[in-house]
Amino acid sequence: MVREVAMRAKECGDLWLLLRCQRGDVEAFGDIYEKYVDRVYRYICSLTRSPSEAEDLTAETFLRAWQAIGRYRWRGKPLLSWLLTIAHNLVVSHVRQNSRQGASLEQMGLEGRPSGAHPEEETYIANLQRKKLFRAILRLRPLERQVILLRFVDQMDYPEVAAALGKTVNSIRVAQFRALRNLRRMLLSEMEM
Amino acid sequence: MRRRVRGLARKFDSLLSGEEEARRWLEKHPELKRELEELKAIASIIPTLLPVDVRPSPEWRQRTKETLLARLRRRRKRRSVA
Repeated sequence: MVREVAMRAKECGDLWLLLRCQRGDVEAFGDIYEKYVDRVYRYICSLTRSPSEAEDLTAETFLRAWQAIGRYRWRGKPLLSWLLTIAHNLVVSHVRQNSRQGASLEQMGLEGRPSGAHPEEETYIANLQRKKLFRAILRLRPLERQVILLRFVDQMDYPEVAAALGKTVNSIRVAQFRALRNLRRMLLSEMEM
Repeated sequence: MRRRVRGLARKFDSLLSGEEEARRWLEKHPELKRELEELKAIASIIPTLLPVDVRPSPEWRQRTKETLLARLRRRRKRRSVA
């Protein structure tokens, strides 16, 4: 019976790795790291736009994941979705901490303004819009934000995003549409202010 | 309502991929034209906002894995001794 369950779990990939980790198998966690580190790094980098911060926060994400993996309850979703949630929470608290310490979004690399001494007005306005859009992406619901980043930054197609987040293609399509609508609404309300 | 959103999301996809039929459909629905075109504009700006094809360096990747796993092994060892 145990062997049968183990065999089925092995077929499930992530579930097999998860079960091994929950029994304290560090090597299995190494396999999870190998499988997802690039995606987690890219996700964090797209939020912070700073490779060095992305390195620190990616390492921290995996450390937190190990600390929490014993409590993780399998619901059939790939582990990537959980790792991206940990990563996002770390980025948010990192941004908050830096804001309290007086660092601006610009200093953190979160805005799109190029480093020119005197940018042309048009470029400057375009960059202000980009900055607003970027902030709006950060304010999206977690699923919508993940879909937007995986679809438009990682250039993943619908089946890939659906597999990564453990959802159906239809629900990803709808989440993407809702996310774009929410971004538009946020941008319009900022313009009215 | 949900079905309507699903249908719109599908149409929007066809618009994003530049299908002629979707463009003709939009011409017949002027009440949606402005919104869907603005959504398309937003979708086209997002990839330019963020870095493309970023990867950690292989050295960092390997070093971090070794450090992380060594740390986890030490913790496990401490726990099993205790």
